[in-house]
Amino acid sequence: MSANIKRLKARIKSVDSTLHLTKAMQLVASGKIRKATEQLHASRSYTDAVKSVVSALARSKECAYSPFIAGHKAGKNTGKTLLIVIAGDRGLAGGYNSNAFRLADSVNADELVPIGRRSVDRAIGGAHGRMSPVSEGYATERFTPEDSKRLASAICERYLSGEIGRVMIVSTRYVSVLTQNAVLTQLLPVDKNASIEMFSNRGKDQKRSNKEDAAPKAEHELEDGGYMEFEPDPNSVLSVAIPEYVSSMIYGAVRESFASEVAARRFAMDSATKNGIVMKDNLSLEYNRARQGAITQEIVEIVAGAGDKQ
Amino acid sequence: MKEFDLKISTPAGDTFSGKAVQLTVRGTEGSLGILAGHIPFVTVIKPSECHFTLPDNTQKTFATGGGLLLVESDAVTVLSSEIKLTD
Repeated sequence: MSANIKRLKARIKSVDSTLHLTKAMQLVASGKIRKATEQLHASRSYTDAVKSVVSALARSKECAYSPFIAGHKAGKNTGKTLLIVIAGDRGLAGGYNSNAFRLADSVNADELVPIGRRSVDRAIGGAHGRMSPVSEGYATERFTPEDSKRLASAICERYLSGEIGRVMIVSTRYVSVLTQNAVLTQLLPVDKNASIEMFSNRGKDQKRSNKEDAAPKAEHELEDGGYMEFEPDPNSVLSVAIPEYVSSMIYGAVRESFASEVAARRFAMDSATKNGIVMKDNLSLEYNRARQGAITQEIVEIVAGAGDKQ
Repeated sequence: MKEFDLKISTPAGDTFSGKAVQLTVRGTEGSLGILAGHIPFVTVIKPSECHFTLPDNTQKTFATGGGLLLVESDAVTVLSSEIKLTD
């Protein structure tokens, strides 16, 4: 009986220390959620604006043959895929890391740029593809716009030289505190069909009003009839816009993923804490029962012993 | 003077967002001024000092390390990864 009590006591102690850990992690995650979502919303406005510029460029006739839009011509294109995998800096975030890795595994990648310590560790372990020479091993929490810019220009250089033919990114989209989805996005060549609607609509309205004043310059007309002028010409704007686009997409994806990681961790730690409390209560009940049983047993033995003497 | 919405945006957030009446930047073809009602267009901004005027006529200055200027009917966006408002 006393061995059982000892075992229960040890288990309660261990559950208790786990509870301390999960509670602390939950509090830290809750504290970080606000900052992470603020950073996320701040980066979204920039990313959306750059995206709309690039999507307009992608639909202009002059840029149709740019390698950034049309992809490399056969022969020059090595067909290699560079995959950026964004995962968390730490574990204990529910399915957050494993969902991202599962999606990354589904891509046949030749080169890997991991972002987030978990992702870096996995890439070093040779989980999928080999590490890209442009990779510097970043952490998601401290990933700055400068890191992103440096990475983007290195990627664009390798893309232009034909060393890589496709750039994809695995990240986690933050939908709400309870919902986060792992997503795979193609960065380069720019996906024309994934363009933002709002921009083409606005362009069309403008075209209509322009027609009343003067005929728009046909040379800058977009394929779908939207209208946007580029100065000095679409290709020069494209050469500046693409590195900016890649950089903002990477930075935006990192911020999305970090917000998702923190939200996933808070949720996971919240349920772990709840489960831990239930477990601790059950164990305490069992422990008290066993202790009371032992005391009753002792009393019975003492009374029986005293009865024998009389 | 007619007003337009001006947004000066960086990846870390908007440096400025509000109404303005004029914006002067240095594009690849030289200095250019934007007023409300400009035709929609996109251009490259060179590293330079830029100015904008608020509806109450105060002048503001910012420095940029280069970027893009996006003009839509009545919304103007300056996109740059390096921007500093000087006053």
